[in-house]
Amino acid sequence: MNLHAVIAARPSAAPAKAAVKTAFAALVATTFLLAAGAARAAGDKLPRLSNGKPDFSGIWQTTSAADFDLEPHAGRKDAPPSAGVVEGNAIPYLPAALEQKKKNFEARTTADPRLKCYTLGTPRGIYYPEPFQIFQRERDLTLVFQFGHSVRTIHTNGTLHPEVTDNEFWLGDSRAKWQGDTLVVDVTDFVEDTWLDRAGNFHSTALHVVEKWKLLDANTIDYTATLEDPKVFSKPWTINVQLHRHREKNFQLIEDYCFTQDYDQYYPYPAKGTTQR
Amino acid sequence: MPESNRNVSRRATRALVPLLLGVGLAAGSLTASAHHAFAAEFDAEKPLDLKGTVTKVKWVNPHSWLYFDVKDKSGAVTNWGVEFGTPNALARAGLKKTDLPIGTEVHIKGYLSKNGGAFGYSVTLTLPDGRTIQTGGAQDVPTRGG
Amino acid sequence: MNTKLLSILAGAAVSISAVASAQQVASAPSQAPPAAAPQGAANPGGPIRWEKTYAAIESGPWKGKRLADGQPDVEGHWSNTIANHNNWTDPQAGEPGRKPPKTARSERAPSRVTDPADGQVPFQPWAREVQQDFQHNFDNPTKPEYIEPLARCAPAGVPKSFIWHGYEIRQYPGYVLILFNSGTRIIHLDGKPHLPENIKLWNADSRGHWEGNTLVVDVTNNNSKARFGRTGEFASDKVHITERYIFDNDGKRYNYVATFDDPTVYTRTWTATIPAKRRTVEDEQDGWHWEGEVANRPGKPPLAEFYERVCVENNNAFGNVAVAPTTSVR
Repeated sequence: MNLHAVIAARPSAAPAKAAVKTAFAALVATTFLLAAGAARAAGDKLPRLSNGKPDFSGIWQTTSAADFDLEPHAGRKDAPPSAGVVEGNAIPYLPAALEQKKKNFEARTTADPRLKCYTLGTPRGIYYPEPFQIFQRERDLTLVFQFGHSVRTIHTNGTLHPEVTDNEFWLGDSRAKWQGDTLVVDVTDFVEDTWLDRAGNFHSTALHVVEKWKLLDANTIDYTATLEDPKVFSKPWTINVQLHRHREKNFQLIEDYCFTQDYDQYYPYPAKGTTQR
Repeated sequence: MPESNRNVSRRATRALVPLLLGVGLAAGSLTASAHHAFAAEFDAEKPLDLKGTVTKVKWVNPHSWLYFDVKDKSGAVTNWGVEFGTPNALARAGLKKTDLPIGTEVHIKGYLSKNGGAFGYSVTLTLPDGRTIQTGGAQDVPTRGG
Repeated sequence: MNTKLLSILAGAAVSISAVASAQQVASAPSQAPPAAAPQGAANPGGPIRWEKTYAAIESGPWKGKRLADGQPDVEGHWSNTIANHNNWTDPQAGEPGRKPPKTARSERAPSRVTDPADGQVPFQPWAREVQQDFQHNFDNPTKPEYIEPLARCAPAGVPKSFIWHGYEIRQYPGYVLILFNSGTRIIHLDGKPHLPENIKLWNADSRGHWEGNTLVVDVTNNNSKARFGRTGEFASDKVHITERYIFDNDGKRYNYVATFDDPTVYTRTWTATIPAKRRTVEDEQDGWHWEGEVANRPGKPPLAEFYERVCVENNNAFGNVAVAPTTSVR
């Protein structure tokens, strides 16, 4: 509620009376603000670090269908229907890039890098339909993704992106700052090899992502990402998903180095009597 | 869209820190196999000396990769891949990704991989402008060079 | 499978192995930091240095820094001081299959097996044969199982992760994370039970608590596929490991002391000790102990950071070379 607007809307009176009214209004306003603040604190009870910043620690997962296809789509054999998570619905591809996207889409059952258990990248890891855990301390957030057990570090220690700009990272290089209770993360220095979803949406090494992380309440994160890539998209575009805290008893990530599944049959621990010289 | 927060006020000059290839070997103080060690993967008895044109670069950690087409005498083309050091190490040696656009003619000296494929370890890269860059990051490369 | 393609994970060439077997290096003198390291450039690269002795560290009270939740603060970068994973019981003897070292045994670091006193893993006879089979075939693998899974970017597992490059410890209320070069362990400190027994993992399942200066960790659910090193020592997937990370109050060293209990493989329980030292931004980048970079924060003292640790995507198992792409995981 905008108390300033309420007070401002009061009709003006004679100066002396106005002064008294104004003083009284200020007192009322202050009381309301204090009460509202207390109510806000008591009502949402955001977890916080000792430095007062919101604490995103915990295990999170989206219930959205974003990873199947960021854009709106009817049901397919390989995807449930969804109105999409893209503001404005369509991803603004440059014409040549749109052709590449279509090729990716046609090849998605074999070409999706997730099928090789490659690191999902940013932002796909955030809305992939498997849990990830955030470990937070003052200087950084460590995100461990159950899929592939990838580890992403978001630096909140005032450091900048590396001076050497040639590095290509699968998860990008993440440097963040706080705007009030919102964590704003700037991500650059990408490989070109990750997809943004199962529908073949993609990017180049020029990708630049700005994420906004905000706790709506202690168990819900509002996650927004704006993507720009001058080699692929004609303008920046934004997605939004919500993440929900896993609260099942004893819920935990289970290590899943899925890329080992192609060969781990060669490595049983040797059982008695099974190996010959 | 906000500017990505990269430091703009870089130092005007930056001392290049030479990669100390082979120093430990000469001093006799190395252990046999380091991370992605030269010796475990590449053949010190099979030097490479290749010229070709760049098809792809991957500037990744801990080893960057350069892929280039090499034409043999009959005109048959083989795409080779050679391993470099980290992007930061390459930057310190004076090499940037923009030095190697697709189609650049390169001259690589190094060693063949042990798996018999068209892969190798690059010791030096010579660019069209004549610059020669030490590209490798492994600790136990033979000092006799490629 | 094509034996030519498989005969590739050889160890060092003869000349290099001779150098390796001859090397004996005492603790390196401390490095003075350069006067003005260029922004973003780490210290110049240097050789990998090993130590041949280490001191026992007593379990007892912790007198060093603490985190807000009371845990001893041991965050940072560490790596073991003795040797890599070439040889479990004679760590500085070099890779199996190579010429035996020219030094006397007493001139090299002791076995990582600190109990029993003979420094050997107390294998049952069949298990000893299996271990030696791997060791014998490591140099010229003719079957897939002789290629150590680490070469395919699989996690190094417990305990090999502690002798494969440096690693980073991060701590939080209820958790200790260890970010290894190959793989990540999450150690739960909050009393949650182990996972169901039939779930077997490369880095096992870890439940720990602090006792003074010692982090005690109960390790089960091990898939035991990783082996302990190139000499082929192993456990079964029923192994129960009790780890004690005993930290020196000076904050610079700790000893990893782990007891292995597996009656299906060993004749008795046995203990391994792996000494480790803290590494900092002032150390030389050597491609092993310290591979950190200097963070970009102009005008401030050097701060270490590590880039993402990604293997299989970038290197296709040892950089497209150790395992030929056609036979790799794709």
